[in-house]
Amino acid sequence: MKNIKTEKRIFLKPGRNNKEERLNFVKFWAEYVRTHSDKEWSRQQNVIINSQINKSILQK
Amino acid sequence: MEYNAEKREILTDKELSNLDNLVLNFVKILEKYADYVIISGYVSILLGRTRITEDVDLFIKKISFNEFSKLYGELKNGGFWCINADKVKEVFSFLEDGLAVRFARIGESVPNFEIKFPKRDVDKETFNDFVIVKLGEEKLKISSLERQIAFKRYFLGSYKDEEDALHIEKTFKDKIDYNEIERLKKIIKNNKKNEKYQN
Repeated sequence: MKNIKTEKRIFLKPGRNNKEERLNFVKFWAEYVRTHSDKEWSRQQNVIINSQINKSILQK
Repeated sequence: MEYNAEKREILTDKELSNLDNLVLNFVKILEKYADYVIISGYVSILLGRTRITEDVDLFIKKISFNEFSKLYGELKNGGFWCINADKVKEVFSFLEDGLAVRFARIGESVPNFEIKFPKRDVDKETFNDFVIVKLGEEKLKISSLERQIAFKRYFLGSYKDEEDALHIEKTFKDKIDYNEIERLKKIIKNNKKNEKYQN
């Protein structure tokens, strides 16, 4: 089982529309980045980035 | 991430993504021939924003055709192709005309690296106040956080750009120079007005 290190619990404020929801998420995530280790937030961020950009592109 | 605004340095031990490694590969070749600064969306991603991008934008300081030819040759040997043209003269002429040219991995079109010579004075200033991001042994030069916020918010202005600006603002909230953002905002708005009249 992965040991997920959480330095600080933070919560996302729900938005009243799509724009507000997105902006609230950006604020939530920026706070997450500020309060968690680089390894922790980048591990999560890389799930998104590496799913779109395959490692094989580096070997061309 | 630790940002030392005086030293203009960000230290991070983040896990490098495939995109980060691709950028480092490209920049290792580029910086042999031209001074560069990474601008726009990838900067926000490098600093933690949870999105992807199809391109990485860079300003390069103006270089001669001779130097560009060497850069072009090494990029080709290093596994990149120019998606705008094949002949080096033609590619360089685009840059000289103030246009951007894009390089991608051979056989791919995205993600790509969009390079251009800075045109406006405010763009040339990017080379005076860049920030170095240290990723362990590796490093990348990015435009200042204030410049990122101002250009995203007052020049580009899409939802995505607003979100990128907000991410940087909130992530480095105690260390942002708001006077500098105001200064850039005025320049950007003036430039926009003047360019509108010229077109």
